[in-house]
Amino acid sequence: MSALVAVRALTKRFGSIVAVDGVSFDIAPGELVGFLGPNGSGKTTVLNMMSGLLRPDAGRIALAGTDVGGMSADRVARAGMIRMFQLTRVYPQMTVLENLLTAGFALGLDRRAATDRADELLSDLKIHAYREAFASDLSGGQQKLLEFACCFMRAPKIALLDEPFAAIHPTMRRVLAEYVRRTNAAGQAYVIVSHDMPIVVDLCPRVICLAAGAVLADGPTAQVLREPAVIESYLGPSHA
Amino acid sequence: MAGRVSSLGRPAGPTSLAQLGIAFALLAVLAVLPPLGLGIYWQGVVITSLYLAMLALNWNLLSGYTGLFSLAPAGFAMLGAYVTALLWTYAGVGPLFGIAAGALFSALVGLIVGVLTLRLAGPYLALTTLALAEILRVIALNSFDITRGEIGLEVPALFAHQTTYYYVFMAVVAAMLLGLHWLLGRPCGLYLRAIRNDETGARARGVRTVFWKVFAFTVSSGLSGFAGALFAHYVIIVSPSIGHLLVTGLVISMVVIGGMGTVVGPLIGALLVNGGSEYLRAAGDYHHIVFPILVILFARFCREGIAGRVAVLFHARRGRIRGRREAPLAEAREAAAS
Repeated sequence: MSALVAVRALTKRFGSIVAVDGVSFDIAPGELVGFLGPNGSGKTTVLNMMSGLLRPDAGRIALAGTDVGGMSADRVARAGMIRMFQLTRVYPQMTVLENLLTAGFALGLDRRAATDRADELLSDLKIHAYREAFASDLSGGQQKLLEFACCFMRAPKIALLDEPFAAIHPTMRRVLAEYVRRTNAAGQAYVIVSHDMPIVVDLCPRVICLAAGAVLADGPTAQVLREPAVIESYLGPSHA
Repeated sequence: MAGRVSSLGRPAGPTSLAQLGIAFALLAVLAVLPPLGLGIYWQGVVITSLYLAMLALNWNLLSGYTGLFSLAPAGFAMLGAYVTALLWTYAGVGPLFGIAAGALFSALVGLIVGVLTLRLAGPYLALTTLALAEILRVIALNSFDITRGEIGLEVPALFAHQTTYYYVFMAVVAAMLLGLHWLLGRPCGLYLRAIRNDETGARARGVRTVFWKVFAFTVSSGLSGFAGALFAHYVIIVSPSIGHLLVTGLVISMVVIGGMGTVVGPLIGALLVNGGSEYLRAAGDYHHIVFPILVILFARFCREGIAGRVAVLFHARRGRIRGRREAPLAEAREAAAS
């Protein structure tokens, strides 16, 4: 099967620091891949380059055969690779519905389709009661669910989720994980950055572990988590 | 999308019919004043207030809704005024075409400046627009052979009677209010507000942020140019003082006092600041410091401005701010249920 996303020799430097150093991997259509690695290993930088927020210094990123490396973030999003941030980025002075409609319109939906889709997502994520509330009035977890919902106003080819399960209530975590599981079963591809190992093990059949800006291991989750290099650089000796 | 107020106390629903209703009620009150005996002098004050309200409305579109801080509203107004004045003086072009040309040329300059600068963030736009406004003013001031410097260029009046100007300026403000209301109710209104709220988030979710920022800058510049050109044919003299930075300061203070990011705020601010300024004129030069002090006080204690504060009180009273109270409770309930 040809790759949905092909990342080749991706490199990014910040001054003298090489944040990402020749990272390569493929993601197949419908695949759910976990991105692991210690803080500063380059996970978010890779996501920033994939989503067009950072221009790679070298390397290539292809989405469904189209080179998106260096494309602006909005074009990458409209091409079908959408991004959720580690630090929640909703529009605080807009209502929940307006947040969703903005994403829907930008991704090409008309008002009726966008409103219907927004209602569907809010129900799926169990935050429909807050449809007319301001995003700033939501709790942190609810804001995370809202940002997550914004990514799915029009089903993306692949969703890049940066720490979606961090700092949210277990109930919401379950709702979110269930949504990911269900849509993935229906063919939605994901890259999920998370330090929450139980969820990663539960959700992701495959993980890529980064360390010092390079791919340390890439393969089936159970196998990668047993690799000594991964245990040493990321999981720690207690997982040995 | 009704006009609502966020927990930050800032009005967030720009398409509020209630706000538009208040604005039109204010205009209706102004409309009945001349028949009730409003003298020529105070008609002039209201006309100038309405001109400044036009600039304030356009600056509000840029800064209040889109989050782009420009220091050139008066500069673009002056540009529009000089276009119609130069066309009249050197080509005999009539006022109506001159005003249209002033608007278009200002929009074109706004488009060029926007394309050149709006990929930049933070203070760069403010500095660039400040430099642009001052460059334009200094060119107008020093090109004596063409512009007659401080003496200015004479242009013909549009109407014979001041009262006609009074109602025309009112009609233009009404049209701008309706246009703003319409614009903000479209998807592009959401995009502009999204850019102000979180530009990176907007980009990552497909909003063409650079395009819409340039759009807002072009529209705002063009309409400011239109207002300046129209005003030129009221004061019938075009001089560099139209583009003075103090005018920009006045416009910004009107928006801050009236309510940034509200439809009605700039109109309230313009009437209050310009009308109040005339009342305080008897105090001599001291009246110049009253409004800067008011701006500081509003910035410190009432950042949402008059219209924003009224909206907060109105919606709070009607129990429309539900999220803050109910969301944590619902979350706690969910947690307890789990």
